[in-house]
Amino acid sequence: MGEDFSEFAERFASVEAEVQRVFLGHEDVVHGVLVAILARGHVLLEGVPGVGKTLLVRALGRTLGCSHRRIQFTPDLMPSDVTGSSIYSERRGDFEFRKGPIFTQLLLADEVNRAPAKTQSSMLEAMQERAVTNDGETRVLPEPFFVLATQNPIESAGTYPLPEAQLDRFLFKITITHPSRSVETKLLRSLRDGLAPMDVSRARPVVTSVDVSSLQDLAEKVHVDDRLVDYVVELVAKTRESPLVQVGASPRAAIGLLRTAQVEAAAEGREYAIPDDVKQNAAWVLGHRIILQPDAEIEGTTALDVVRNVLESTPVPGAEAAEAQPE
Amino acid sequence: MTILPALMSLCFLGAPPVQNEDILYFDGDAAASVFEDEAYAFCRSDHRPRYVTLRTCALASLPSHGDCPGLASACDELTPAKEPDQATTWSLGAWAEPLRWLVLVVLLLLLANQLRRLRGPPQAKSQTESVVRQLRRSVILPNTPARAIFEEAENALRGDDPPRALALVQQGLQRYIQDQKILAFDPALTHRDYLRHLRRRPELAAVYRPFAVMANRMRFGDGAVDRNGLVELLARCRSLMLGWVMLFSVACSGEPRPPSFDSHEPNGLSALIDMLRAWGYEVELFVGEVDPDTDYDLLIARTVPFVNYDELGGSLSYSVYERALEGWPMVILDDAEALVQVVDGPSRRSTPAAPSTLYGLSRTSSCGVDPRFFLEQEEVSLEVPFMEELGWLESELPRIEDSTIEMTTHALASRIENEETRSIANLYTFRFEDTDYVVDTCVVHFASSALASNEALTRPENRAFVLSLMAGLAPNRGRIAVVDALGLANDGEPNRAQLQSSPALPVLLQLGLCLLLWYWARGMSFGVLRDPTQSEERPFVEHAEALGGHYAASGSAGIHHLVRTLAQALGPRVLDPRRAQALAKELGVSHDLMAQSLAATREEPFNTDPMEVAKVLSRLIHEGR
Repeated sequence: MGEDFSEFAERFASVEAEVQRVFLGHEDVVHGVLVAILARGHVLLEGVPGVGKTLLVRALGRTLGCSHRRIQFTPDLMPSDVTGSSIYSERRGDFEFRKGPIFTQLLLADEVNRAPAKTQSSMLEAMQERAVTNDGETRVLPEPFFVLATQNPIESAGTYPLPEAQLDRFLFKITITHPSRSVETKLLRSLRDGLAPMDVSRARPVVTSVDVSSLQDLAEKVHVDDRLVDYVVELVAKTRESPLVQVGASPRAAIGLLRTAQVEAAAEGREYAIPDDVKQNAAWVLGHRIILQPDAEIEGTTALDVVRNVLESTPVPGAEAAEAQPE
Repeated sequence: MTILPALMSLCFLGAPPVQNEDILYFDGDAAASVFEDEAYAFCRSDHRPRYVTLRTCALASLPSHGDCPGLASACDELTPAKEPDQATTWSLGAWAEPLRWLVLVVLLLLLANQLRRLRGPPQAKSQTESVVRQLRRSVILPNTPARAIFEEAENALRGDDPPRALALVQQGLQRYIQDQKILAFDPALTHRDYLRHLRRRPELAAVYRPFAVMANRMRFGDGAVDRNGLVELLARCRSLMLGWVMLFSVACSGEPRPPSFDSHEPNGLSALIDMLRAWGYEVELFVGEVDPDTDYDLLIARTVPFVNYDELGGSLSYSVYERALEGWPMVILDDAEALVQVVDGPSRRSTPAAPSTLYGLSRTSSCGVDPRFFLEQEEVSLEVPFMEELGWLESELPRIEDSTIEMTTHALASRIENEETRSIANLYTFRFEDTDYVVDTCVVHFASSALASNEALTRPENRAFVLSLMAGLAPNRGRIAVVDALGLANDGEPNRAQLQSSPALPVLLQLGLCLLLWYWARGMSFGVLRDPTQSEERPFVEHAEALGGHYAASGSAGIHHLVRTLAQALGPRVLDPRRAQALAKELGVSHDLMAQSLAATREEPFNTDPMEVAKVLSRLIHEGR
């Protein structure tokens, strides 16, 4: 408490606005990705081809002033192609570590589910520890570091579902749908008029990578009341207790809920988080971490249904004040 | 009633008996026959007339009142209730005095209690009492109305308990929202959820939003409560409650329509026209403007005389004023300040002024009224709401009775220096292009249109006076123009008068306003436009196929698991033998094969080729969905 979050809110809004100059529509997705980044999280973007997943990532990288690289995941991609490898240097007569593309601040892992599990797992340490270990030597990744991965939900041939351990490392899994008609019309008219709406170079850097780090630090100072902590714990616990669920959300999910709530509060210029901040991103945080019972899945239940049920059955703190007490 | 007869007697005393054979005597029978018409139902109906009033009943109680028996009988019904018989009145006797003191003491105690409550709850005498009070205060029953909860919140605020006040505001608002059937209370809903549901009720959202900010800050922020903000919030909550009350209360407070010349009700003015016509006059009724090309002997106007030229459109019509400027005699029916006022100006007619007095006026300047029409009667019971307005005139009565002082209205106005008389002096003065003009004619100004109302004219004495006055101003049975500058004449549309007199206008106006607000609210987009939420539920078949795909990729163990899962899912769907047979027939699969396939899924270990079983089951799932 005591921090002034109005500047945080201003910067957050300016980044949002700048990204949306290039990435039209889907304001909630842009907002969500930005929240995840400032909560030190990684994002898995799922969407059919052509909805602008890569464009979004590139626009973000440019606007945030962060270095960014792109890895196109393919079935023959090796872990060393991601993390880097030691190569013998004849000149030095020794092995020399050549850094892979993961040594960047914003990594776009395009079609991450096309690589085999071995390659996907090469990012596990990087995503959690923000470091890469090679030949027994650990190398720290630059700060800030975040992974924005994309995957296509409709193609199953030649794809490898992400292992649960890796899924859990993604703070958000966001599904990008097709844009609305109005957005698509606006996009086409801009194209027709030669305005190049999708030209990433139009996005100007609004903040620097140092600013991003300081914003991340500032967001962690948002006050979270004990009752709100209890609320988060209750939500996560209920996902584990549901008879429809085989494996519920992890403690990492609870941490993610708390962190994103802090960022949401700071983005509104508030120095304290409220239940709405928790609820707002609960589906994105919990949805991909829940593994359903087979029969529940067969009956058509989805993980988002479970999350919705949990949210609808868990009283928010403060609601007890409005409950009439029996005589 | 004590002053007026004296005044009227004074007015007509001394009027010489008229011996001229050409005199048009007042024909009381002809005038009375007007009330035999069907239109004047209130005079003959046994039921109570709609607008029966004390004044009406005062008229009806007079002994000479025989032309309107319905009015009299209606008033008879009222009389016992209004004036109970002294003999039958229950008396308290000796208990009256103690009872009076008792009532006084009880009232004082109630007042003291109220003052004590306003100053806040008294200090608890003991801890037990404090706890009991605290418990009692904390209980808000589930069906407590929102208004009562807000009142309790105000009490809590006065008791210096802002957190409780805020909690009560939350209860009240959410109760109100539930009562309005917008959203039922649900503990899992956040304030933002509530606001989302209030998008179509901006007036409610405008109250809820500041509350949500305040409540969140108190509960999850620094714990501080903005007391001033809470006071303001409570005021807005109360105004939210009052909004509807005020709407309906205003809607029910429509003013009754003033009497008009087309109304046959007791307070209407139609009898005056009918009687003049029965007496041989040609009477034309105009609304707003009088016909400028026709000459009339008299103008009778229902209007407001306190005008200047700039306000003609809203009060007296321009043509009426034109006639006044030309010197036409006229009678104004209006709710003025004093009784009957006469502006004594020279008449355009050449009839010499009669040596008579009308309402305290000099015989030498009686507005040119034809002396043949002054009745020799000592009492004229013209009924008016007069006592309050006549205060200033009452003080002048001795001088009037003295009759040694010549009085005209102008003279009276100039001699009595007070506000009322100054207004009379300016009554028929108007300003046009920075110049004051005084109406140069005789204007008889009735202090109340009730003087010529239907109910007033049911009294023979009254109609004798009113009609004689009219006839005196227009003695040749000529043409009289009646101008209704305030209202509309009956244009023959059914129920129009009832509609006009109904108090529905405020309701209609408010409904129109609500409609506009509704359109305004509907037309606005709230928040960011988003794509519609897509259904997350997939058809059962897609799940089965997806599962099949996963299991197929994981080898033979997966196939076994798939088959068992499919059978488990399919089982309830083919339990009915007839349905199962029909399904097998439709698929071209023998029923036995289907039964075997289902049975095979229960084998442990599997003896049948699981792929074959899976094929059969997948076909069944496809068709049996």
